[in-house]
Amino acid sequence: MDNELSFQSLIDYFERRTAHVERVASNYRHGDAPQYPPFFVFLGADAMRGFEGIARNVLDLWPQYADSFRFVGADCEGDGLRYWSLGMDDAGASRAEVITERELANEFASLFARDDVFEKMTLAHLYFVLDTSSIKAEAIDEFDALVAAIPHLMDVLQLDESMARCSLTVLLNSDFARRVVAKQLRSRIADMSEHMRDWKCNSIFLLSNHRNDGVMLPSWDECYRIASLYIALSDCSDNTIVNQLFDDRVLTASYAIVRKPTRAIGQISLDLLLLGLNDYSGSANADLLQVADIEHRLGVTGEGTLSVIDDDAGQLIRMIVPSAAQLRYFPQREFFDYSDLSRYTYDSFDEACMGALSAYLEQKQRYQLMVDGTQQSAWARSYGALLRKNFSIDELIYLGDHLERVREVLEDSRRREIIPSVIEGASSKLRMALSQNPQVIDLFVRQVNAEAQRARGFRKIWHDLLDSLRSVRKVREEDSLIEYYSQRARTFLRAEGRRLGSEFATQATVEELRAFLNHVIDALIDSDSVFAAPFEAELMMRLNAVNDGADTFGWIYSNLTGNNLRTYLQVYFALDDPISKGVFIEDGTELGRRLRQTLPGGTYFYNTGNNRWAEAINLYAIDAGNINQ
Amino acid sequence: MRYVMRENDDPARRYATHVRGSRSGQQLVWESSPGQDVLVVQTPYERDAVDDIQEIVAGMEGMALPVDCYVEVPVKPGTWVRYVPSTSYARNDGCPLRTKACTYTVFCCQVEGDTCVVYSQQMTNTGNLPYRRIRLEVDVQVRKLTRTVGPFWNRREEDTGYYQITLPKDRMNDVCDGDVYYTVAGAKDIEIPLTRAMFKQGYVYVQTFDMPVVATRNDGLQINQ
Repeated sequence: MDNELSFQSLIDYFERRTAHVERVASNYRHGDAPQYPPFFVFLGADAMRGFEGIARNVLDLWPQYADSFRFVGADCEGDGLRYWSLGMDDAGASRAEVITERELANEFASLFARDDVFEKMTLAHLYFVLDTSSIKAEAIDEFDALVAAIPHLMDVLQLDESMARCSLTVLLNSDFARRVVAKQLRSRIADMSEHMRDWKCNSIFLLSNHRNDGVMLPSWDECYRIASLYIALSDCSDNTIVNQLFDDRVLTASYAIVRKPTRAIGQISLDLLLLGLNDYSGSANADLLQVADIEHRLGVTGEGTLSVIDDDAGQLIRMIVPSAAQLRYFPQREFFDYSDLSRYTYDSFDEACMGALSAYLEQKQRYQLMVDGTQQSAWARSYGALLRKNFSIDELIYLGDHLERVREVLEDSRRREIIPSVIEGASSKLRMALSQNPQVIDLFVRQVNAEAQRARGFRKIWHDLLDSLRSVRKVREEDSLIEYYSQRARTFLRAEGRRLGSEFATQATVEELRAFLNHVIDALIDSDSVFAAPFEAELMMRLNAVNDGADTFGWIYSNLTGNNLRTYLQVYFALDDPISKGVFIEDGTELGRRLRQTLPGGTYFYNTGNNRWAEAINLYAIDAGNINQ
Repeated sequence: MRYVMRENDDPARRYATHVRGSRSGQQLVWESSPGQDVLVVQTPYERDAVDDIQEIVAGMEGMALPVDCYVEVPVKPGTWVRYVPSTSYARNDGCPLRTKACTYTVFCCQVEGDTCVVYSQQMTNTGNLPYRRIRLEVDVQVRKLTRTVGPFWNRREEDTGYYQITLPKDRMNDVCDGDVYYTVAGAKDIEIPLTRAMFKQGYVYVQTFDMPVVATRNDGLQINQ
């Protein structure tokens, strides 16, 4: 686990938790399944590095195929190819190991080992992915070498057109510094598009990080998602669409997604939560050690003993103190009658028995109430817990800076009056003897110091975390988001703030604070159903809360259509109408039903089985002239 | 004050040994090198301090120097220490005992600034020991108290419901509170200590119809009933 605790890492956790809760709420429903067995091949080191991005997205659509899908890599080694088996371990980390050509063939063959996994086994779909990020202008042939792996692999797997369809997804890195090489590559792809069969390829899916609205994407994450949707559409149950997408053409896509702005929600809520919790780190009163209840907060009882010791040793002390029946046998200076102890105070009884009671208690204290190492550790732990409960972080630091005055407060308890009745007095005397023990006072003062040290460490961690708030850009969402979730976070703080605040002050290390804040996030998500609501319901609740009668559907519709779909390639002539349109949404939802009614015919509705978001993808064929610019 | 232990690397010139009781029986005397200050350690009868001195010195950490007075070591109940400067020893012809029925051990020591250095004892085969066990005998009488009742032609003794325990007054300074205790049949699980104040008075009364049993846990103390 990352040792750093930052605002960003908390938002990540919030996002993961809400996704998890949403998945649980959706009862892990499955959506549409792939029709033909897909085989994923990543060409070159850059593509292999991105394997995880594609794999996660593909498995997000088809989680039930985690054990069935096969991901392999191929890169150039000398004049030949080297093959890799790619996968993820249980912890989610990606792994790659070199395999032989034969092993690669076995990986492919394993897709056909069972007849109950895929609907149709007559054809395989081979999806090649190539990332151009590292291809240099002076070594442009590297692109050709990687693409040449496609026919080579088809030979290795002994596949022909009747047995497999091939698609090559090219992630065209068009960074400003790579414009020349991107242009060269576009030219190569344009050439390829005219002789696609020579490359044994049925389509090239071209995505660039330079969108048509001018945005230069900082990572391939969105393109991985789009590539996955393209893969899903090209393996859907509508043969017309499948055939269109393997029709010897170069394709590109425009894409839009409408989802719950989870990160922004997390940011707004956690910002408020952290600042709310910060109030409980408290500021130390300059006269903290003079305040009226300081003795109580430092664990000194009204009687002047130390509450931690009273609690721990109370039972033993009760067993040690003589009962009224036993006290009758104590010695007498003269002929007294001890049958009515109410006539005596502790002192008068001790005087009447010539110090036998105090001597008895002293013996017990010496030999039965000895403070050993184990007991010291237990008391130190209990006292530490009491200090953390009773003092804020800043107050603990203040106490640490004034240890001698803390000692005075603890020692000052020695001057209290002992409760006068005989048995209570005896019990009190034993408790006082323990609390007066210089070793115990030292132990407690040391514990105050230890807690102060812990608090100093914690304050640094906490301030670093608060500092990291500034490094996150302000949410630029519409006002409704800020207003709505600020209100939710405030409500949560009003209900739980005090409890969490007292727990908050007991955290010592990064790990403890991380666990505590994760717990706070869990509690926040549980506090209001809106946090785990499907995106459509969340949007409806939010918009209605701030604007009664808001048109939720209209908002979603407009965001999934028209100009809100961005094209992931810079083209210079307008693209023709899309050859295929897909909407990825859960079947059976109100939103799905209305979209089906409203969107033009020919749109393919792909059932994702999850209602966490809706996506729209339009696929365009690009002619060679429009590629080669 | 800090306390540290050191090996006695010059036992011919730095020594304190041959511990014994004085003729009066109230003082502790020993042989030591000229001008040698000594740390006297009083421990329970059955155990001298030669082997435990390191632990005792560690337990004294932070204590004020107990010059000419016995102070109990906080972490070692029943262990008392007294710093005896050579001048005090000479002036008093020895060192007063705190109590009897215990063991006294002496160690060479010297104060260097705010540190008191205590030197370990090396046992020799001369027959001179750096410790002395001091025994104590205590005569105790337990007597049922009765009273005479009835007319003169029919006088008879009747229990008062009290016992009297008689203690030797001259042992007042020799015992510790609790060294001697008694139990009674009605409360067998409780050992009721006899204190110095009772020795000073010479007797106490115990309200019981069963005879109290006087006993001790101290091996150095013999009770004669």
